Amino acid sequence: MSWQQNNYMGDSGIHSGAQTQVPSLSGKEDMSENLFDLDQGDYPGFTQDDVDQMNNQLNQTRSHRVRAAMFPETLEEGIEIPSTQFDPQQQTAVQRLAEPSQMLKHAVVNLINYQDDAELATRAIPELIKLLNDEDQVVVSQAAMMVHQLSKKEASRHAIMNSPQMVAALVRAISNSNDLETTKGAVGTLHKLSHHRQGLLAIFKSGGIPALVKLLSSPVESVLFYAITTLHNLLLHQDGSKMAVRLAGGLQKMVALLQRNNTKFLAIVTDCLQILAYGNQESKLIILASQGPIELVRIMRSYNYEKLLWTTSRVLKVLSVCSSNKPAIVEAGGMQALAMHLNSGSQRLVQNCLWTLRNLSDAATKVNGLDALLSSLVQVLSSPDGNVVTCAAGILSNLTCNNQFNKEIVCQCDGISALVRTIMSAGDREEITEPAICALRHLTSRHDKSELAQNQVQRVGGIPVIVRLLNPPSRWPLVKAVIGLIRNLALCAENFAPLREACAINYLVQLLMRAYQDTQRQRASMASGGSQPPGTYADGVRMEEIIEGTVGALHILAREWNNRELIRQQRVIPIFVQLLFNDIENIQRVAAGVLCELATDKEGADMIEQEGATAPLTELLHSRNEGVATYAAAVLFRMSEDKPQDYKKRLSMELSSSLFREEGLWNPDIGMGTDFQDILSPEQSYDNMYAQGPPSVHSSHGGRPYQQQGYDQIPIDMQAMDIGSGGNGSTYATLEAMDVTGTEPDLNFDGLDQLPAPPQDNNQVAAWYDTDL
Amino acid sequence: MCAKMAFQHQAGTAMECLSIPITLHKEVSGDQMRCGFKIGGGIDQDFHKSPQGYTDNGIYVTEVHESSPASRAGLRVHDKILQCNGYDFTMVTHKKAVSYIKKSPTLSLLVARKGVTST
Repeated sequence: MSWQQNNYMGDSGIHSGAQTQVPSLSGKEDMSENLFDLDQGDYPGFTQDDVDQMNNQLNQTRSHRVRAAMFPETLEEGIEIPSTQFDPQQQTAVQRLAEPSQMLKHAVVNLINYQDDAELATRAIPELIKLLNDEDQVVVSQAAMMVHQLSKKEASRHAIMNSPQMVAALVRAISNSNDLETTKGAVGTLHKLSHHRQGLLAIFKSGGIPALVKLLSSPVESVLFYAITTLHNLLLHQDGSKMAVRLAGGLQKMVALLQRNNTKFLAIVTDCLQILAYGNQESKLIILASQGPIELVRIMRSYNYEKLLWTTSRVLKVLSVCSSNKPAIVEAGGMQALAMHLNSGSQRLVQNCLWTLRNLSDAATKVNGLDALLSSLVQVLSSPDGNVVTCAAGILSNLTCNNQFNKEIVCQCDGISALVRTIMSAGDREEITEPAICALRHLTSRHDKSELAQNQVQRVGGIPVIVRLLNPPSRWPLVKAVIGLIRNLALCAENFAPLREACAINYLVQLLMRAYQDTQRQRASMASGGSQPPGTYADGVRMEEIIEGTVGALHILAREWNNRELIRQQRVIPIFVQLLFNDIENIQRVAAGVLCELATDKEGADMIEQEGATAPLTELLHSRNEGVATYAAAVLFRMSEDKPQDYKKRLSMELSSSLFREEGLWNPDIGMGTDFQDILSPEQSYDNMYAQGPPSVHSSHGGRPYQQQGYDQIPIDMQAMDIGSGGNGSTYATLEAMDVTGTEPDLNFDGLDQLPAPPQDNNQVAAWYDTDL
Repeated sequence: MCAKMAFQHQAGTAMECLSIPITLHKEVSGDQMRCGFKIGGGIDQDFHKSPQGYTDNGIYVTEVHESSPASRAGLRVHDKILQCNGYDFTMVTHKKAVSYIKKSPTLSLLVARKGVTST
């Protein structure tokens, strides 16, 4: 029997046995009434003789009519039985009897056969067991074929699976025999049994799994197909099967089978792999070691059978949350292969590809040649499906991070407008706005077309929408991203006015004040013996990051005269000066930077001086951080404009002695130009807050790849496996709730005292830690 | 060849190498048992990030406390634990390794040691 004819479409489901229903016989009572009417009818227009004659005729043919209704096969051909139907609207009693009586007859016949089968099988089983254990291979082979024949009938199948000795004998026959017919018969029988819960249990208990795994190396197609479908059914519905298959080395064999080319077969194999790898890190590593990613990516590239692509994308999805598999999939060209299906009509395929791509995307930031993927993603942003948009924005965010080439491609296919539109229509849905804002933040800095991008955001009306996201209900991670984006947007002079009109400065100052107060409170509670860790976290964002971000953005905004005036009015200069004392170097730098801009105007310089900035600024001239020292020098220099000559001279000497320390970076004659900040700020990479590079202020939020913030958690797919048409997928779907990665501990260890708790059931590679025993 | 395998082992592949058997009797006080060493590593950890610069996903002894059961048993820092009471330690998660070590009062360990079992 060949694979295709075997209709494995029914394999994944459990067919309940004995569905014999008693047919309804509800027509019975009406029947007698109608007969009575006919016989006794006193119809006008007929004489009693007429009626008697008609009755006679009817009586003569009645048995014929009844027989025709109940046993049509017994009629001789060509006999015409007159119908008694006189009202075409109303069937006669006999006509109405026909269908239910046929059904009843079939039921009785089935029942008789069923009983025969069951009895036969029960009687034959002890004998067949004996034969299966015979020493003569020919005998065993004959017995196996007979059992297989029996297993095709439902009743005898039940008898077989009810006999543990029989199932054990079949498993033994598979394990011991080298005879093809024996193997075929035995595995064919197990395959039949695997459609029933009881059969699955019997196979499992008799140690059938190692035997079936062994058959996965069979060169005979039918044996191979029987074995894999039986294992698939076991994996779907029998507890404990997964572990047994893993222990028997099933994973390695299944990965090897991926090189075959029967698409339906491959769909079953990949689904088995998905079930085995789901939530099991060791399985994922074994698949990796067996070159699984290469084969899976090849399948994604080479076939167009939807079910196969779907099951394969699900395996890749599961593997894509494993940090060892991730680079292997990317290296095998997984990104490009998955991108091929983003325009597919199959929603489930698209969704799985997107999830996988997002999981992979943080490992693929250095990959080039993703043009097709990037432009598909931009298109997909307009999808009405929120999940799809979330994924697309997340992938774009990761792929545009620190990759100049990708940034330019996204800009070329008008990703800016698409992202702004996405943000506009997303409203409060942060799962969409946050990655979209991050993508925009990446696209608006550090590439050749970044200024065009900054301008484009404004031209499509993005600025008011973006600035509004600084306010509640936005949560801190989103706020932080928006701050970074606003800072980038401010790099374009044309954006100064729109940003100011959207109240960006007011909101930034409010956020700064709030964050600053939080950190001050924190400090006070620490000083009074509180035991909280340093830094205030809110949704994984430290308030120090908000301070750094807002001050950094205000620094850029302060390049413009109107903006500087507005900032001065906000009474925020005292905070900037206080921040010069902050122990985080980056905060010192942005504070010195914004003061440097504000000192351009005499009013600003005076206010700064009144706040007592001279002392800390002079101190900062000796900072190890060149940026800090340079800004401090510039502020002091600007503040000295109206000072007496000897003061300026002293300052100049101080500046030279501190800044010419090494290679004469500072020259008072240059550096006061407008590009000053740009010389100093390239290392201020807002770009990589989400990505690999360490953020300037460490927190559990910054510096982590995007997907680890719980993007793994979304791909819980409750869709039932429907490779089998009659499949009962419910048990399968419930299995899926496991691959959710636990909350990820902070990957950036700032110090040993901040070591995180060991990850619990976490399949992501943690950095490194010890356990004291 | 062996030397390279023991310390740059690909988890899950077959390996043959020399090893040192060590028997460690834990210090029992009340219901607490103490070995006196720390382990790091496992297939769920990233050895690239280990400050010791380990080169594979094995379980490594990262510290041996002075005059502890571990130091008396001859365990040394940077030993790679290959087996513990018969359990394979070359392909375990960190948590699993900890649970195997915690399981019984006596540990029969097989360890690989740079410069001893290999060069």
